[in-house]
Amino acid sequence: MYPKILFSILLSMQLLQAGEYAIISNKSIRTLSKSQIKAIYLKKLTIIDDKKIIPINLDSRNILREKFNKEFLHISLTKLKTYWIKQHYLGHRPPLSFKSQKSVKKFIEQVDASIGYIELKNINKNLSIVYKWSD
Amino acid sequence: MYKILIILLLGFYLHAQDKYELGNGVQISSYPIYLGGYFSVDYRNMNNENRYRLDDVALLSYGNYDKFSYMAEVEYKQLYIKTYTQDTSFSSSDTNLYLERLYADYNYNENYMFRVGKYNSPIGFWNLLPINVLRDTTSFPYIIKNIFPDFTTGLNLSYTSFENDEIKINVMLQHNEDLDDNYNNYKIDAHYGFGILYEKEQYSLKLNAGYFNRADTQDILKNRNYILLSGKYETEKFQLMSELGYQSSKNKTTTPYSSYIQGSYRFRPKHLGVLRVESYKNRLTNIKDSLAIFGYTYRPIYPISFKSEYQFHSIKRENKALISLSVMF
Amino acid sequence: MFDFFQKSLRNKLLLTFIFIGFLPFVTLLVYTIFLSETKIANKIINEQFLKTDTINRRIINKVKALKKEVDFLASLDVMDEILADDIDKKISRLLIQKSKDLSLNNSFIIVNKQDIVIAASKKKDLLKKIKIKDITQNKHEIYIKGKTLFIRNKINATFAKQQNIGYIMFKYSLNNFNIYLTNELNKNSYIFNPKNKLFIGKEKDFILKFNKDHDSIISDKHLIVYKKMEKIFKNWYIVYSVKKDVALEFLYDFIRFMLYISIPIILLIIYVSIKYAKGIVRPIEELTYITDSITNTQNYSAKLSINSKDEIATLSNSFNDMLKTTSSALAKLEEENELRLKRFIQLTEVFNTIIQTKSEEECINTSMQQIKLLTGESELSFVQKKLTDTTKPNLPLYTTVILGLEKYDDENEQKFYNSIGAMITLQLDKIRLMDKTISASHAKSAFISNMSHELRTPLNAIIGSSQYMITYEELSDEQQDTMSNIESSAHYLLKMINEILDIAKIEAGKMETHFEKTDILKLITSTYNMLQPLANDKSLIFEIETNDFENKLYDTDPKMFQQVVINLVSNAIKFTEAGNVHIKLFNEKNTIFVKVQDSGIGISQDDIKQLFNDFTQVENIMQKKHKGTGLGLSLSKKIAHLLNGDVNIESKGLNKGTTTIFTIKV
Repeated sequence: MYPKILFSILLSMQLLQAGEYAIISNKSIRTLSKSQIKAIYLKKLTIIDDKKIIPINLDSRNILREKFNKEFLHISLTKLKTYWIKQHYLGHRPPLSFKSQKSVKKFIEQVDASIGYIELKNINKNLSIVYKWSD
Repeated sequence: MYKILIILLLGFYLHAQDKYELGNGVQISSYPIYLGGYFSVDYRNMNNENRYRLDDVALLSYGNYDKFSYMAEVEYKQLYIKTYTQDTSFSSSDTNLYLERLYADYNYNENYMFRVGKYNSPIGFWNLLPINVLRDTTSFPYIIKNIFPDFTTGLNLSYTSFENDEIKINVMLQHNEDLDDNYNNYKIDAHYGFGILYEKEQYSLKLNAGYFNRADTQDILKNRNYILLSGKYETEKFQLMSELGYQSSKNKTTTPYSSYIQGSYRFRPKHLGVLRVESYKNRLTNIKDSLAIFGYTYRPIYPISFKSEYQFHSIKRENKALISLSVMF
Repeated sequence: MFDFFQKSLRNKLLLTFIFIGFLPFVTLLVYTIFLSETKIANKIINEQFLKTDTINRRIINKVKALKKEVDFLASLDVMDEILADDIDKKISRLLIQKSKDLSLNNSFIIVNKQDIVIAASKKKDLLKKIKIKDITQNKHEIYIKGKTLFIRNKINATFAKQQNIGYIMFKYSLNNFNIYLTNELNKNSYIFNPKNKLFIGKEKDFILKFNKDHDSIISDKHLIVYKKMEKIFKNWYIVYSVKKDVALEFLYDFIRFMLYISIPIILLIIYVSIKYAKGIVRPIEELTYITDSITNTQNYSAKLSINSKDEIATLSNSFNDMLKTTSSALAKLEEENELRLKRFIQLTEVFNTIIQTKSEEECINTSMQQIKLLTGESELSFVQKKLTDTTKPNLPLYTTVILGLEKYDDENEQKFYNSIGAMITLQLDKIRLMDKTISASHAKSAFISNMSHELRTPLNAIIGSSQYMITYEELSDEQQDTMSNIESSAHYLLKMINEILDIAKIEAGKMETHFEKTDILKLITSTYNMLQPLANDKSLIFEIETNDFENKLYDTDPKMFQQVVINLVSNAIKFTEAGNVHIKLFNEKNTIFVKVQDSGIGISQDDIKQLFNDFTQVENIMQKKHKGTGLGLSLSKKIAHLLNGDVNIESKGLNKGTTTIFTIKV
């Protein structure tokens, strides 16, 4: 447990610094606009380029997730939860979430038309940037 | 038939799930089925009459496959009502299972979606999330039940654009009778409507207009036209919502106006206060009423809500107190 | 043998009770000993089959549950992490947890599309390369290989259900199913695959041949049952065995118990049966005893006393009643009997009295008197009827006496009086007859003595005269012959008259015997001597034999004796022309025999019969030569009778001689 806490502190410390982040995909998706990304992550927009688009989140406690929320969704976590309960009534599921950027990367590499967000520095050649932002 | 369906689905449901969260439903193994459900119980005091009611007990299932997705919802409505007046009490029970929603969507592309089936008419803001657990007060604003048909059975085309802000246009087409029209506020056999929604950040604006034909009556006023204007402003803690509607029939106005304005404030994460002021006039029933509703909602977690409200009417006898509990699975 | 029962009610009852008592017990015992073992064994075998079914069911259900678990895991949202190669180890952690939850001896692996194990419950399986092709080789999702159960399922993306992203494979050691098996001292179950000889559980030391789908075996120590399992376990058999003596322990205990208890029960049954049989029969026996004693003692006034209140008592009461009735009836009968006997005696006495009356008058008077006394009737009437029998006019008249009352009570009484009347009549007749006979007898005697004298006197004169004349010397020979003739004829006539008179005397019963001590030998000898000249005249051999005679004095009438002997011997000499005449005198016991044998003309058998009749002389050749009155033998016989003896003749036939035997008893 302690190593985890230490790790997350370190990570957060890392992320506290100004950083660059990107919405990534595995080169199967072109660039997207902010509102599109928001719509995608709110599952309002499900098809891009005739492909079913799969948004990937990071875990709710992840700081990058918070940043992402702030940047795109403008909805607090609690409100988001409410939103998804409402969406459940309307027949929509929230996006998958993964724990680490590594797994997000791996997933996006392997799954076409999936998008996720990572720190820009973690990007590799298999991935393409759909949107970039920094804080 | 519905009962068997419900039992089957319940069977799947009871197949327990790890890390189940209330309000998020369950997935059924490898099939594109998600299950959920909800129920609500409420209490009303009006005119020295106490009414206890088990209102909705519903099971919904949905899923998607490639570009298709579907929704099916069955529900017991007014499952059990017990009313106590001064000297007597009577109870009623409706154990029929109703089909609340049944539709399939096809997402043609980023913008276009095509729906067929029975669905909540995407008119205004309230009607999209009409169930107790998801709405702000136990009671519906008058406008919801008296201007447009709550359910449309037919086709729906929508165009959405996400370029900068969201714009959504949809068209409703019903040229047939309702599918299970028992709890439709208007039993219709035709509905043509359209709506335009514009969302930007915290603001939403919607316009709906349409025509529907009542199937349960032969009088001259069975054809109705309506028009509705809705607006919403929402922040993290505060929401302001207002709708104004008008309905007429063959150049004769049935409802010259019906409107409300509602403000709700989340003063604590789990606590919500609501104030709504409504006013309407109905030429058909010759009723004109204005009311103010004070409501309070407590949600220990979002899918569980305890609501209470009190309505002050200009028509005194309409004053009522309402308390309800509802849960979403 | 059956008499034993037929004759004894007690034995019948005893037997019945014993039978009734024994029957259920023996039936149960026989059943328990002979039939129940098989039945119980079969029952146990059925139970064992049920148990194997239960085991089978449990195992199949467990497999189903495991499949559900695997399916469930495959459907979880978290499986999407396969696409991220489970870098965050979410899936692995889940698998480890699940593996721990399920049991020991199992493992999960998740293989992605690149044939890499990206998540596993066992660290060593991680990142192994396993071809999906190999995993999906077996077309069944659940199968058994060796001693491992394999369950797999494909995993699809939750967001795109049609997209397969990997496979989950679950390995479960069959040894885990040990929990469904039992391995106790007395019962044991295990699962066996005859194809690869693998087994789950603890194998027992008996060897089975799995010929059928299911079967039961009763070995000497065990009850074994095996059954083929179903579905994925279809090559496996469940074997369930139970130690026979433990399984049948209850039965054996029970049998032992039954046998132990059988002796006391038998004794009890017999005791109770005897007691009750006796008890039931006792009143009957008492009844019998009393009736016997009554029969023996003829004491009909006895009574039965029975203590019970049942049918026997009723019987004895009826019997008592009957006894009473019989007793009183007998008493009455005896009374009547006595009365009758008395009457009878009286009547007989009356008759006696009447019979002894000697005159008619006495008879009648006595009769009436007696009858009056007897019957107590004072009103008797007496009627004499004279009967004439016209067919025999010379016979006396009889009178009939009819006794009668003025009126009669009944027919029997009339008959009674009629009989008495008849009796009296008879008596009267008898009296008259007797009178007649007596007077006749008197007349006869008088005649005889008169005649005797009258006849003899002239004859004697004739004889005397003729004898004088014979001695007269001046007679011529012819005259002398004539005189001799007259004399001999007169002698002969006298002799005959004597004989006739003797016979008459004897007939009239007037001949008296004078018994005295007689020297029989002397008598015979003198007779012999007397008759010798007669024999010599004919040149006969005349002999006498007296050797066998006990010479002593005997009581008899000598004159008569001699008369008879003389008659017999003279007859013998008369009727023998030549030859011999033999006299033998002997005695045998208390009888004296005088046997006179001659070789004379003999007599035929027919004639012997007639010989003793009066006046019979057998007609024969000798007739003319012989003169005789013919009374000789008859008289001899009658005299012999008077002397307590008899005369008999034997002859072998004509010309064969004659033997006369004169016997007297002394």
